[in-house]
Amino acid sequence: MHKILTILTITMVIIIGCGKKAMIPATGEATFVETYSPAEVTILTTGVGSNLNEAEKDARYQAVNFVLLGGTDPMLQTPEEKTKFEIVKNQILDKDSVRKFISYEDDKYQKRVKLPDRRLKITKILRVNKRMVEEFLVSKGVIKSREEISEAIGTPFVMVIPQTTKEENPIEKLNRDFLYKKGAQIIESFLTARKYDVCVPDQTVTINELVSAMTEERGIAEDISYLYALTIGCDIYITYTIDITSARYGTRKASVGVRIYEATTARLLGTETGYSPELKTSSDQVVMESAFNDCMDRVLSRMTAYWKDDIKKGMQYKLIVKFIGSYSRDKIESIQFGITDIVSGIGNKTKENIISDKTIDLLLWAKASEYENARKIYQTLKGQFETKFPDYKMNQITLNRKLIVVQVKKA
Amino acid sequence: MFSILVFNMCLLFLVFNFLFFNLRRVLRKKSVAIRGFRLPKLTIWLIFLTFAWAQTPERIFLRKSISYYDGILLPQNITLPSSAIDLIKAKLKQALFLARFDYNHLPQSLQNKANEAIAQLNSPTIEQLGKALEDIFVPEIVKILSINKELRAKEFVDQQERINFLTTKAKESGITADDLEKVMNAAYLFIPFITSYSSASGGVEGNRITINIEGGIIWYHISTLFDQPRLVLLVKKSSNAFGTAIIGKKYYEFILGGEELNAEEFALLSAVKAYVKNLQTMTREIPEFRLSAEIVSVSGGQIVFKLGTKEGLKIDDKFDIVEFFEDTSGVPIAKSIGCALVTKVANNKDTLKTIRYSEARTFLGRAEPGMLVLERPRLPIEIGLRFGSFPLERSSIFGGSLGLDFNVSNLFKFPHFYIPLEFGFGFPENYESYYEIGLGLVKKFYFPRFNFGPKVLGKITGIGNPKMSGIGIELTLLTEFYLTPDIAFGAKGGYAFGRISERIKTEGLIWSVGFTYNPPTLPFDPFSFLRGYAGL
Repeated sequence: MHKILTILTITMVIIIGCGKKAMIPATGEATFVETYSPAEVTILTTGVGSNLNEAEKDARYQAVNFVLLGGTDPMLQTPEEKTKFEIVKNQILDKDSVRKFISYEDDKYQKRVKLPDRRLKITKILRVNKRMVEEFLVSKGVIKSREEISEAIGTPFVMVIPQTTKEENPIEKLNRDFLYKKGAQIIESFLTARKYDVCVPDQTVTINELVSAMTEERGIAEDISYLYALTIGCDIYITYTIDITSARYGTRKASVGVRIYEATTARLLGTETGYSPELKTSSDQVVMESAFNDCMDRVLSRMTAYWKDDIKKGMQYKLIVKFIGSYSRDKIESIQFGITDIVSGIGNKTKENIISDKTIDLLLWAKASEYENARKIYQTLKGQFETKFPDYKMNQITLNRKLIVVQVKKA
Repeated sequence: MFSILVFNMCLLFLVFNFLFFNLRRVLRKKSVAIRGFRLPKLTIWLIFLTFAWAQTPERIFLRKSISYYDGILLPQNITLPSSAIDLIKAKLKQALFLARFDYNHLPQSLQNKANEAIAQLNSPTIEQLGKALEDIFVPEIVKILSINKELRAKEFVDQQERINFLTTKAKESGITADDLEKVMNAAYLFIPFITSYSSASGGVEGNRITINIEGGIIWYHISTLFDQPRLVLLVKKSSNAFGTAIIGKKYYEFILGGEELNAEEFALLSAVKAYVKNLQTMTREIPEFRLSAEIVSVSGGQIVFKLGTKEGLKIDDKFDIVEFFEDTSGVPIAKSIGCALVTKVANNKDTLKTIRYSEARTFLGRAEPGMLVLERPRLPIEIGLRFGSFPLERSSIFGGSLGLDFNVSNLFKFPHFYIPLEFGFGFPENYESYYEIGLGLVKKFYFPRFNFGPKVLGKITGIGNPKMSGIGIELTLLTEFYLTPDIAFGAKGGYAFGRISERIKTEGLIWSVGFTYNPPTLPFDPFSFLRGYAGL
């Protein structure tokens, strides 16, 4: 008995001892430095090891670990992704194989110090190829590829527009101010590099109908960028501000503020500020682009996170129903209940913004597999409404990717 | 004969190894018992070597710019010949205008103003002096810095910045305000001073003149971090030196264009040479001016780093290998854990875009990428004191020798080359004395902890009573074990040929053991001193 117990104990000890030890970050010290290109980010990372080789391995591991899980906008965002990642963690974060995701390694050390416990601590700059990491994660089924996301809910459309006061027209500003135009181009280049569809607003966009439909009831002026976004029919819109100032020793410095909104609700999804170094240059564009580089990666991570989240609920639409003419209290309530019931049947989820005698303003999330586009939703809504209320007619006022504005009147 | 020579050398080698390894083993055992962990191979050397700096060295040397007060501060009780002042000024500029510095030239009108301001001060303190010169020099220096700041700041845009968006995509210089600030705050001013000057005749026959100089330099930093740029005292360095010559002798001076100098002039020149060399070494030792760089790669004791001709790097320049150690409170302390000699100097003057690396060979401790090399300024001379035997009349006599090994590697552009000058003396039984003066060539090959190399020495040998002399040649192999980066325990063995007369031959085996020392400063210029002493 004793022999068996001894053998079992020894076997257990050997199994536990020989098992691959869980990787634990030695320091967890890593900082985002710069978005070098749409595919690469520069990270200042710290590694600790018993010797230089081990410390360097740890530094690489820290850098990739930071891109995957660290910072405010990691690549792995949903609990589902994190759970799936745990299965393949050893393949990607193995200290020996992690090197393939490093596209550049500075030969200079920011810091190198021997710790009191005789381990070596180094700090250096590395560049991680995020695209390669993403491709790896997609191949392992940890995250969905953009193609998959696109198939599920269509390619997201993004509009880029300067942030203005309510009195100012953003499109005029875009055409008038070269820096703002350049700013839009820089953001658009980041978006196209990540395969987002970019909607370009121009002077031909008329928002009058929408304005009348939305503001009649509320009696307030809407944010003009939001109205443009809705009119164009984009999923997300990005506004930005640019501030360029003179800095020390005749240098120039730029700070840019970038905000991302959900188009249907004007809900703020994220806001980031980017700063350029105080740079000796005669070109304001250069400092501006440098400032955008400082924050765009975080902005896009925020956007991707939103987009992935939207897959679960379905495609989001804004529905505005205007009631033309006068109705009795009972009738209007019966029509309102009828429309909300039909909409609840169409969408996975609905959210009512305003329901009044004149207007219904609500959001609905519909599965892209069932309703390819806004027209299909309108078609179903119209069909069911006119069946339910044969004395009334429903007609479209505006219809685009995200917005359905309809009117209801007596037949 | 040859086998005896080889046997002799091997024996010496074994003795040193035995001593060295046993000592290390003893230390290791002791350490294991005390600390409970394995002692690295380097421990014994760390005991001798580890040296911490009070000021954390710069990871990368940043180029500095300097200006100077074109005069010499003298106490009221000292009068110096104008020729001496001019010579000191000229030699000081030559010595201190190091390649690692840019120069902010101050116009003569300002120098005259500074002269007037200093003349009005009665025995000024360093602070008073700084204040007086601050108003005159600093605005002009700041103006020069402002004009040149962008050009100089290019030096500070490091490799990482050179491959970022700004430089690769936007095609900008990548110069930031931080770089410009570094330039604006990397300006220094020096003021030379003499505290004592004496000229004395004397010597055994009363025909010798000796000139002593004591003085130094005051370094100020021009700080632009204040609202008004200021002169802030950096350091005051002092040195003393002497030169000697035989009265009545004429000395031919190569450096001054083949000029013939009288004894006083030569003694002054000799003293000034030593004085400025010392001040140069002291300047190179100032942490702000000390060359430093990160070790980029290491291969078999050969280290690679980013310094070169632009910083005035020379073959056989000595560098400490520095590692940072964090203490228990988290403060990093820089410690020297090894030493290396430059073997290849990169020409990095031509372009900023191409990175060229210099190389050095580690002879003490070990190096790894990311550690620092930190300049260890030393004179290009090694002083050796050895004891051993000389062959005389088919027997050996015991004696000693004093050697000066002049490092001429930079002259030949070949590492570890020396011209040794040796003065030997012995105690023969049959004669009153034995002496020898030798001049030759040594090439050393460096390995971890020791060097090894052949030495050829042509020599004049002589005996006293009857006074006779002859010539000879000695062929030896020498080896040196480094106890510290500057002190080595060495031995040599070989065979000497020569004769003093038909009967008195100086042929046979020779050997010696002793110490060599590579000094940072000397109170005399060895070559000039010998010339002055011998009247050559």
